[in-house]
Amino acid sequence: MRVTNVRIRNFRSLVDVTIPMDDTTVIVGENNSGKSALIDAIRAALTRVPSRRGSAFAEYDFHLPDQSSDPKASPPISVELEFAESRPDEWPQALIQALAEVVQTDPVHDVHFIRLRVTSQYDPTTKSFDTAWHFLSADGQQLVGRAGLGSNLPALLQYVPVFYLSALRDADDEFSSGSHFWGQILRSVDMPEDKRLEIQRSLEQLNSEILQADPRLGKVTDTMAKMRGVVSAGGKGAVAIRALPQKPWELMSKSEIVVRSLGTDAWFPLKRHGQGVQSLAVLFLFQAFVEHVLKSAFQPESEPILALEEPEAHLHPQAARSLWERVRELPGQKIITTHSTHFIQHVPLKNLRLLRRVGPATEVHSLPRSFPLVVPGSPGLHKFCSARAPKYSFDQTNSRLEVFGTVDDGELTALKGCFKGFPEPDRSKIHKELEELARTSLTFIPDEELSSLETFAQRMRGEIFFSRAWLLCEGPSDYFILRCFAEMLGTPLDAGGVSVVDYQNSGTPGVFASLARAFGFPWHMVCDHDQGGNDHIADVCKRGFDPLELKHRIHQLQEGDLEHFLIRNGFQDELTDIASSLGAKLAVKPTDARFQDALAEFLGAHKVTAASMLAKHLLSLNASASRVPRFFKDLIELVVGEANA
Amino acid sequence: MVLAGPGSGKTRVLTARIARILDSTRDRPFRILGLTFTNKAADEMRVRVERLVPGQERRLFLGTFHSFCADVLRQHGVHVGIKPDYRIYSSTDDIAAIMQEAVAKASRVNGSVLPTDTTLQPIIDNLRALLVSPEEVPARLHDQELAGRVMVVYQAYEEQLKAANALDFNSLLYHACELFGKYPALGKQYRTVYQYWCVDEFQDTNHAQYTLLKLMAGGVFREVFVVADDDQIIYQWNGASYQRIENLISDFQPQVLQLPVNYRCPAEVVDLANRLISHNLLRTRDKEPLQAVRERAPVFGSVIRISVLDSDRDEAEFVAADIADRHRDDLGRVAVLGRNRSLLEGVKGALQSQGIRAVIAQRRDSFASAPFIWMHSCLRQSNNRVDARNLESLVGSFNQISGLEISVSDLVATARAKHGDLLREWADTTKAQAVDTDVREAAVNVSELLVQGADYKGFVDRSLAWFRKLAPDSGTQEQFAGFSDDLRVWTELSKDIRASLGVAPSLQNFLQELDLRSKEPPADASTVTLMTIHGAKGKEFDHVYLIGLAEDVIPSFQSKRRGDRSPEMEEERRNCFVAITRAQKTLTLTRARKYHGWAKEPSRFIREMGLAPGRE
Repeated sequence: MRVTNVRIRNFRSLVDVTIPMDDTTVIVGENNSGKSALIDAIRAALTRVPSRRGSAFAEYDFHLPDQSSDPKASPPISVELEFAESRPDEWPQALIQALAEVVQTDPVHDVHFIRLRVTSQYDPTTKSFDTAWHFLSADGQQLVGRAGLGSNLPALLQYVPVFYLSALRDADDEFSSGSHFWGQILRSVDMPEDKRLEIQRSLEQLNSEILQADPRLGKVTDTMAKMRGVVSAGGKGAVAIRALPQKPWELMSKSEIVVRSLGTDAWFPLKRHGQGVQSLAVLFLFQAFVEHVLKSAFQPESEPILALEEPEAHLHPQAARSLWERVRELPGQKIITTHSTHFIQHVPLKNLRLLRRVGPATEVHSLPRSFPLVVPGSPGLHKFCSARAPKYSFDQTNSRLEVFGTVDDGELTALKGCFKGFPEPDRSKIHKELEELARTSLTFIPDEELSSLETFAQRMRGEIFFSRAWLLCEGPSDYFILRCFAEMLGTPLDAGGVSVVDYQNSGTPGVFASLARAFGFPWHMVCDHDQGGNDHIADVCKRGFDPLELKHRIHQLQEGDLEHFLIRNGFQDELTDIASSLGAKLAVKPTDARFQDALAEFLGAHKVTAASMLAKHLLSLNASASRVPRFFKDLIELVVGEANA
Repeated sequence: MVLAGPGSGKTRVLTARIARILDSTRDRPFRILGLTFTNKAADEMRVRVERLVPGQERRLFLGTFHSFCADVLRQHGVHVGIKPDYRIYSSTDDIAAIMQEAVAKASRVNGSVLPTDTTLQPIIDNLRALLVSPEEVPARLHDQELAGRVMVVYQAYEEQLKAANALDFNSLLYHACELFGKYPALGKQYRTVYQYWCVDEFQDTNHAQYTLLKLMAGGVFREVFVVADDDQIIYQWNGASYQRIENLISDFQPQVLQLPVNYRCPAEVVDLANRLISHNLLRTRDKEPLQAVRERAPVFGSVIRISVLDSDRDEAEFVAADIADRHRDDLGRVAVLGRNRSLLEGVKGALQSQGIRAVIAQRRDSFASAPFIWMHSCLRQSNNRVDARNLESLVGSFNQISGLEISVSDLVATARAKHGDLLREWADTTKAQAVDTDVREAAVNVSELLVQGADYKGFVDRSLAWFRKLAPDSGTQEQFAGFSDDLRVWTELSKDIRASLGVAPSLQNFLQELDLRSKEPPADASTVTLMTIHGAKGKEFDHVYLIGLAEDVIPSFQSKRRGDRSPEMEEERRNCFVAITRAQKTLTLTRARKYHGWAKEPSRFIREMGLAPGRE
């Protein structure tokens, strides 16, 4: 059983966020964007507190919009978790039986789900912060009856135990006998009674051999035994030296992991190894714990939830890059926060959640997977949805139509037809809403496009998700020039949090624009004023953007292509030199009216080299900001400004 | 299917089976579903199972069909438009009020609806029990003019219930069937959770109850264990039928086990019962006769007596005198059974003249005494602050206790102008108006524990203490009529509800469960129980008096009109069979020559039992 959706309200900076969860969910965001709050909220909701009246939250967990806000007057913290089957019969029967009081069913799709809402609020009569756990019905109402029994929460927690590894995980702590993984592994050691006694006898034997090895030890014991005269200790033999633990459990509690270093025969305790090895060892310890101990400590059907902060901590980039596969293979559900550009290179885009702080509140962005619309049911609609399952589904209980993809024109017409019999003005209203749904659904990025992005944009993905705005351009030549001009303007793009994406090598402009929209990045695009550029603009337009918005975001070089633009905006001399250094033998004279076209044509054939040479040249000259053409100056200021708004 | 006669230990078999399954699967999470005919039976079985296998309570649902459906609807009702926190309307007053609103509403839509059409309520209730929806009414009634009226009133009734977020008894089953019928996925979930189903008193399962079982089973589930006796079907009028057992056999193909041995009754009574029931034809073939294990008394007349009196009045006086003479020290173990309530009224009067306490056992939907009506309404009001109808009983009962004259309509008007909270308004007004500190105390309790706090258990404890303080003095005795009976009911019911719902049920759960249960006081050792035969189902007594053994009484006039071989006549015979097999030690049969002044022949059942019609 996995958490499939989380909605958090009024918890620190999470004023109201809804986050779909995957088997492995990777959360990125700047410091203070609410990543830890998200993990803490889930942990608090799924951790048992000693009494029903106790609080799982502290005063400072309440969202306080300003200095003078009082947590006692705050609206309640609410954490709503949904656990849902992704297909019929996914959950083991035993789980459905054990949690019978709270399991809900989507009766149309025959899938089970459980919804839990944890709320916390100040109660003026008891003068304390009270936390309440409630299971919810299919339409989000509080379930009463047996679902309200106090035994339901601990029963649920048996099946979804939450474990947490902080960024500062300390191998010393994690491998101590008191830790929940290592300690439980040690405690779970189960040996037959006769074996235990046998070991105990051997230990006693060994102990006396050690003591006999040096007679002085016997004398020390005698001296110590004089204590008997002062305090009323037992009779003779009441004092002894114990060189070894006498019980197998004591011995086990002192056991530790040793690791042999590369290229030597020496075994070193883990804590003698570097931070990276230690940090990694803790991950594997978790895996060992889940695979070998969890099911006996909880239930055979339990699936752990691991909240893991910065799996890459202290690791070499290569190791961080390959970590995704290891983490993905960890048992159970994983919620991971990361700051590593290397780690997320292999994380599928669908698994990413981006947290961004906007004022006092956090926003969450991810790829849209479905588009809902509340509409009345009709026989036609039921037929339509069942004929087009699983792309379309209709939840009758909540009158909720959901489409998992883009509504095409034919489907829109068919959908409208489902409400033929409805009276006006209801029908027109529904038709309008359906059109709006179709429009929003254009933001959907189909799997094929995603998978091409996965392959092309891996390198880039490392950076773009840690920036604050994207500047899309056609290819590497634009890339060099944009970065160069920004530098000249004294606003280098890296420092300004702007990623330059040369889309032609990595996908299509439309996909990146969609991606930017999905993840809430401000973006701008620059392209040539030619057939190619027009095609690129058309590719963006078909993604359902508002034309007015596109006017603001797409910047087309009026002079045709980049080469013409540069030649006509003050760089003709430099470019002529570069062309000749590249061996250009232009047939026309610089005075000729056709010279600029000829130069541009030559440069076009050496696009990337020429652009990079120009950029290098200008930067080495410390060229003045005043040489940056107006078009680029405005664009760069716009993007940098939006990135840092 | 365990097919077994009275006193053969059917319920014990069922209990033992449940206990054995639980015991042998202690570490498995699946549940067992146990459905009973009454809450009392469920409570008794639960106590026995817990004694046999402690710690497995969570794995067992034991309750009536109604409480099971109530549970299903709380958890899944949203799919048929029912909110989880609905209220159950069990009192006739609540239903009547809804009906009145429904008729008013329906008459606005349909001119043919008459103001007197509140009398259609029994028809609607019956259609509900048969799982007929408003739209299907015209197909079910011959009289189309009537059908039209019934349909709109039924529809309006449904809407009013929904607006009140309430369900009546029959709609619990109706909507549960609707849910399982519409969504097979839910039946699957219940089959997954409840791996074994057990049904007590299966023979009296009605159409809706059996439909529920079938829908849940979805044609694939076979782990059903029922105990039944087709000779004890006495709820034919409520939809029970001997065909139900045949349906079960064809739908579930159960293995049939017979337990003919009767451990309850004296051998003489067993002989009577066997002779009597052999006159019925509509029963399972090859049904084995009851076998007695108890020894016969040396003298026949010491176990079975038959007396003939001149009139119903004489009969009542004879029974009262006989009980006074023979059983004065053992009154709690004596039951007087009659075919109908009016026969019992006479005996009750006669017993009272003998100085013997007697009660006619009957389901009670609400408390009888003003203090408990008040406490119950406070709890309800606390659960639904804007319920103006409930406020009437709250205010009425408290005015009666306190002598205050608070007006409901004033309260409602001021509350609506301020905060809408009727309970708060009542408490504030009472605090302001009360001169007496005792009266004030009650309002303060409500204020502190229900209006500001949410501690209903604390409120109940304080109110009970307050009642006890008030009851003995201050001339409130009249206002406390029925208090001690209600107190016993309250104590018993809160114990049973905690046993079935867990130690600290929420107020809402507690109230819903309370609505399902009868508020009739439990029998005590110094009171003779007077019961209709239907009420005696499943019970046993040392000494049984069966009165009114005359034609037109048992068998009833109506059954005779249907004919000597009619199913109705057979049901009358089963009534008689059930009545006599309640006896553990003695059975006294009586008849009068005249009832209500009309001469009546001895009941044919006397002859069929193999007895002489009897002399004085």
